[in-house]
Amino acid sequence: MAFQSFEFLALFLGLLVLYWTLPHVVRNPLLLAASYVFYGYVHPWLLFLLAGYTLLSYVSTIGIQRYPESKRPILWISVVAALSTLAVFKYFGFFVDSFGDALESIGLGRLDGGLEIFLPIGISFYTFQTIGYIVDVYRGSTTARTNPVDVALFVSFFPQLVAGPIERASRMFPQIEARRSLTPNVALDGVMLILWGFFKKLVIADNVAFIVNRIFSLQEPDFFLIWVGVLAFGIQIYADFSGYTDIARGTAKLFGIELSQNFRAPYLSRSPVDFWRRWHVSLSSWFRDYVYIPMGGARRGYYANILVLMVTFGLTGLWHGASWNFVLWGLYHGVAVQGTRMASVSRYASLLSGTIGTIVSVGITLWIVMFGWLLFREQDLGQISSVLQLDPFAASLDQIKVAWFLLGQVVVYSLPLWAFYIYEANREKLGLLISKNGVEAASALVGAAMLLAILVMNPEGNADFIYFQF
Amino acid sequence: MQRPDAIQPRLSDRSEVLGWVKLAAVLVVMVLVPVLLMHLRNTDESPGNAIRRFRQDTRFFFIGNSITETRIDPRTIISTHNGGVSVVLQNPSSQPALWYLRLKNEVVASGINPEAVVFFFRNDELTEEHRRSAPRYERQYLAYSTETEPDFDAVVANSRSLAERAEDVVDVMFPGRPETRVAVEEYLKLVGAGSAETAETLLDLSGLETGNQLGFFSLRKESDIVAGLTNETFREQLSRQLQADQLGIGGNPSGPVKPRSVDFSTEASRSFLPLILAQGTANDIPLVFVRIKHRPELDGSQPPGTVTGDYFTDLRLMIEDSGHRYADMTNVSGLTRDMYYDKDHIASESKTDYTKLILLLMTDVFTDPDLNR
Repeated sequence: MAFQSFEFLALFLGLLVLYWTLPHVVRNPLLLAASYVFYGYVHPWLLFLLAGYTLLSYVSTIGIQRYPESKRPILWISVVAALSTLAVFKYFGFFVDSFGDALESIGLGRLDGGLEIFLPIGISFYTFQTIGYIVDVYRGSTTARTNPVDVALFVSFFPQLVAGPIERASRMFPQIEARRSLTPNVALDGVMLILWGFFKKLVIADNVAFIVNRIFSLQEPDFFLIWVGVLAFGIQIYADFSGYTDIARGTAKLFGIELSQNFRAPYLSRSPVDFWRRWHVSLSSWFRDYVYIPMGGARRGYYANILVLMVTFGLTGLWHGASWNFVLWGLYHGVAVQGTRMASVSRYASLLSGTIGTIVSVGITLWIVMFGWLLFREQDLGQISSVLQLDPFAASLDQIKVAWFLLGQVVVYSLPLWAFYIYEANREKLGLLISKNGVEAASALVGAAMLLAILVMNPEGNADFIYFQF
Repeated sequence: MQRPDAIQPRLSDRSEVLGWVKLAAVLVVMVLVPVLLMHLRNTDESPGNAIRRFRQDTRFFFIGNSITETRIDPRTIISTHNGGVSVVLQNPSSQPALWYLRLKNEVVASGINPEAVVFFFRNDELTEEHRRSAPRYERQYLAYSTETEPDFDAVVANSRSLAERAEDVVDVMFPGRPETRVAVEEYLKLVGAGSAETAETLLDLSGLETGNQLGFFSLRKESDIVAGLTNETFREQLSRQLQADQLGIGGNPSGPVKPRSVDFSTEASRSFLPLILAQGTANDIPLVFVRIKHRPELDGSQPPGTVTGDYFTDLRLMIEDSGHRYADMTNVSGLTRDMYYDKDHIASESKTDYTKLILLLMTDVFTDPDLNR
């Protein structure tokens, strides 16, 4: 069920009223039932998968806690089981195709008849959340939960089920187990987050997507047009994904659950390292804690550390999709992060301090990140290579004008994102200037403006959120 | 009795109650401001302002959407029929709700007794009625309506699902959204034109003579020019794609269509088709419903439609029982793949040939009294 459907609105509003009307003891079962309706609405058989992951995490975490002497094999069996399921649904076809291509390249014929397997929506997200829980119990940083409803709700909580944030057990379980309450301020925060999320998705992302899709479907785009397309995609994917996260966070808030912040003004990052502290934080921190550090992190030698870093980023790329361009995108960011580390210890690092230095470093990082989106958006490696060979001087005046014409529109669509960055940076100062009543009045007007924009500018036939496919 | 609910004890706190009241007020303002703005912007238009008058010697009417528009060239019919007038009444993307209004309020109301009114349709378009009758299309319907349209309103009310009715509430609360969107997009085009102008000015300043004549104060003109250039850029892309598609090297990204089974009597009873048939019968106007042929696949076969075959058997029976004519063009061999612009529309260069083919295939409908005399 999509957030932007009337079915969801009906489910959400009905559930919200019922949820706060009923006593605490039935709230978790109610949320669980709603989550299963949400996930199984189109393909009910997906619920078996969700139940399977729940059973796996329930049994393995209790096993790890009850039989400490066998906790290592239990951990391995459960992690392999979770990853194998993910691999079958998401990567099987990719591995078969890649194997076939490899055979063909060495002259051993080719494999015909690729296998297409239905990709369950959100499987990468709940697989990682489940693995995180099992590993945390193994490490002793959280305890195994014995209430099956709580565990099932942890795996399937509908606002964050299909596109994150990937939550940690230590953060979610205390909230799931607590007697939750809702205050007017929190409710207003939730409503504003939902509206802002829908604004980003329906007004910014979906309209910019129209420009992006047209440009990327050109067979022979010129230099300027394709880079406008890449820039536009950078705006689209940020508005789309952070929009989803905001809707998820706002919805969860209204049920008394605080989800983690997944984006912290990523396009104001001062370096690629900083970017990964601000972009899809729940995923980057997951890879840091469950892949990078267990593989040795920075504790090993210089070259081993670079290898670990590249493996981590390669896997981060692969997590996004079963295609080599995602791996390339991950490795590109690995190189950028390693480059930042090397630059930060060079004698010129001090040049990037101060206001001008900050502006320059933000600009450079933005350029690095935007370039990376080309590798993310264009799945055909041959096409990426052709784009990189385009000659800017071969473009005609008319082509330049068309590119600028579209760029002007993309910039206008992105203005609210930059305005929000300024607001976020000055939130505390604004809070001191405006009284509480003023905040409520401002919220009402800003909310009205966002609602109006959503109703008017939301294109018919919205696309799914981009991260649903991961 | 105290309920085990975390909110209940808090409600006893006066400031908490005040907080909820304020929140409710904020939410009301959030919704009311857009409602007021949209209602202020939305000026009512008088009904029937698009209704046309026709020459009394009009012999054929073709009512439909772009499917009809790309197929019928009235001039070809005129030349073939020694000057007999034929009129194409088409609204892009329209559906039988609007076709019914145009039949009733334009053709029937004109008092002309045409030899035939022809409708081209694809799939279950004739009975799938709920799609474009939402209140957001009200302005379009109003343009072809009389003061009251009780039959039209009854069908609309009867054909909406629960989710669609919820959407209708939003449409009624916030009217005129499509028009407002168009207006906003015009401003966005101006911004785009401004940045294109900036680029051109920069190129001039950098010593590259661009021949820039317009300047910043003619943004609207620049906007039209550069929007035209943009459309041209993407039109070329579209035609290349179509070419690839014609050659069978372009895949269908959404995958093959799987026909669905339709309960014909239920769907038809909720649609505008009975009203259209009744108008024809009551006014002694022969109606012809032509099921189009989709663009043939490379092997010459027809791609699967969205509904199963039984649907068309039932549809034919319903139309013929009402004394009207049903024509199925799906097996006409003269309609070849290269005549199509896309999977349903005919290429402009094939429009004349298609019209001639239609006249030939339906000679009993399109008989020329002058020639027969």
